[in-house]
Amino acid sequence: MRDCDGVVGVQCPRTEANPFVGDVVEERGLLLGELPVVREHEHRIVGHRPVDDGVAVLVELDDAALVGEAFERRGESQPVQRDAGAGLDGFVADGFLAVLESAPDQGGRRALVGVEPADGRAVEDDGDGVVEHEVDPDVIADVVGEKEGGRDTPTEDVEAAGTAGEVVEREIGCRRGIVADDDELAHTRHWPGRELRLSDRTETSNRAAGPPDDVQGRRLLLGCVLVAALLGLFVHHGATADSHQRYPGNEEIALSYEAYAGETVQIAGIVRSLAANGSGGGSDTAIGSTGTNATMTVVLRGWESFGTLTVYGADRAVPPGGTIQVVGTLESDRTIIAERVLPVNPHSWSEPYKYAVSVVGAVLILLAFFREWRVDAGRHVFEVREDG
Amino acid sequence: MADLLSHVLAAYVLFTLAGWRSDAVTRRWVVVAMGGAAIPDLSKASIVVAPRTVEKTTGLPFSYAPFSTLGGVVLVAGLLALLFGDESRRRAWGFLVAGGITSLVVDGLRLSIDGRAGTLLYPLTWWGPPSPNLYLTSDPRVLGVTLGVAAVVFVVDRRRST
Repeated sequence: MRDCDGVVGVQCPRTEANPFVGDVVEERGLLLGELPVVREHEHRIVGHRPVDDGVAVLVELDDAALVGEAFERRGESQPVQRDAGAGLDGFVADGFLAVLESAPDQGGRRALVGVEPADGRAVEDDGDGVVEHEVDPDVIADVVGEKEGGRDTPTEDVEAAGTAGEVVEREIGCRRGIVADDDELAHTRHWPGRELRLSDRTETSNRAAGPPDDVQGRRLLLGCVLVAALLGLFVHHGATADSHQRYPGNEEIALSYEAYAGETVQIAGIVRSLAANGSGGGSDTAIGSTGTNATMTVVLRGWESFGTLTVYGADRAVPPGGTIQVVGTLESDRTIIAERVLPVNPHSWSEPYKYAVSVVGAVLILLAFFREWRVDAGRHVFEVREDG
Repeated sequence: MADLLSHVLAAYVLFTLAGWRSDAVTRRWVVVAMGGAAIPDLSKASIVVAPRTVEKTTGLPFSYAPFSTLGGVVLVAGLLALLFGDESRRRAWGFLVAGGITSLVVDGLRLSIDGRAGTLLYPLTWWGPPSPNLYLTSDPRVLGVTLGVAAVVFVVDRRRST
């Protein structure tokens, strides 16, 4: 370590004098309780331990300005503060040892994640048990210490960070990782009586909360298949429904009127005017009554631009604005001799009434549903409300 | 097609009654079936975007009518069931389909000018079951009767659960 190198200590409550454990130094340059920072060293530390089923423990640091800063070398021997090993027994027993990694060209904020084997294997003096580390970009640590020039000394409190040359430590979560605001990765120590405090989150992986990607992928794939099938039904029905109709309908009449003249047709029309010839013609009191020889002028529903047709001989009288279905003979002079008439919407308000009531129904569904179910934002699914 | 509220209330009545006989039909699944009962009414999307507009835009024949058929109910229920967790997805799909079929049956009872209930079984068949011509879809009395029955069932159900 150069004299100019800053050594960052750890500020933490000292509970009691603890055994000096910092001298448990691994032979290959890694101090137990210190910060192994060189990637190539990692392999030796990690060995061939699998970490797939490890428990990740987030360790946080801010190394925003690490570029160009001095970087600790793994071979450096670091005098260990006497208090540094306090509480280490607990750490070792838990099998935790955070391995923080940074690189000189690392620019952005990073939080390193040490992955601990699920079996909680203890850290050996030579560093066994240090297995893996990952980067979590979402975590920032606290400021707790200050730079001390060239020597390893117990740490002191600092007021604030930010001035030139000033180094402010960040207490990095559960392990011993400490990094300064000037992004020099410092030696670390164990602080007494300290258990996992800041980053006590444990995860089975570093993936964001939510269903596994393959589950989401299957849902998405199945959803696409269903949408495609539904669109296929829409197109198929639109292409083939006419051939299955008993009588030509609105579209055929509007597009090829002359071709269907003299044939029996079935139309859906919106009444424009009514001229009833039978009892009660022209008044709402006779609407829906039978025996009326009514004449109604209608437009084809959905094909209003085609113009009006006159329906003769209707046995139902429907006022303007109502909707009727008619089965009858299509004449060449844009008239239909009705055989049967069904008043689908016998009043001008019938259709708005159905829509309004349907809106009430939709609201009722939503209210009833969300009394029993709620959205699980993490899994993107509905789940049963516990208080439902 | 009957109004959506009548569809939903009919499903509520039927599935609540079923819940009195079966512990598997709890209140939370009754509401899922009520949601399924709304599937056929999605054909009202034609109010928002007319089929002819879709045809002009895409150059393909198009119809919303499959929403009101068995095929449309099954597919839309499948899409909605994907919104449920793995543990309840199949059951949700079942209740959604059952609710949708309830609405199709209710629609099949309405007045029809040709005496047929329409192609409710599409795409399995274009055959339309005969309709008993029981009601006119826009008749407010249909909703009145449905509301009354649903209210009675609601009150009885609450008393049973307390």
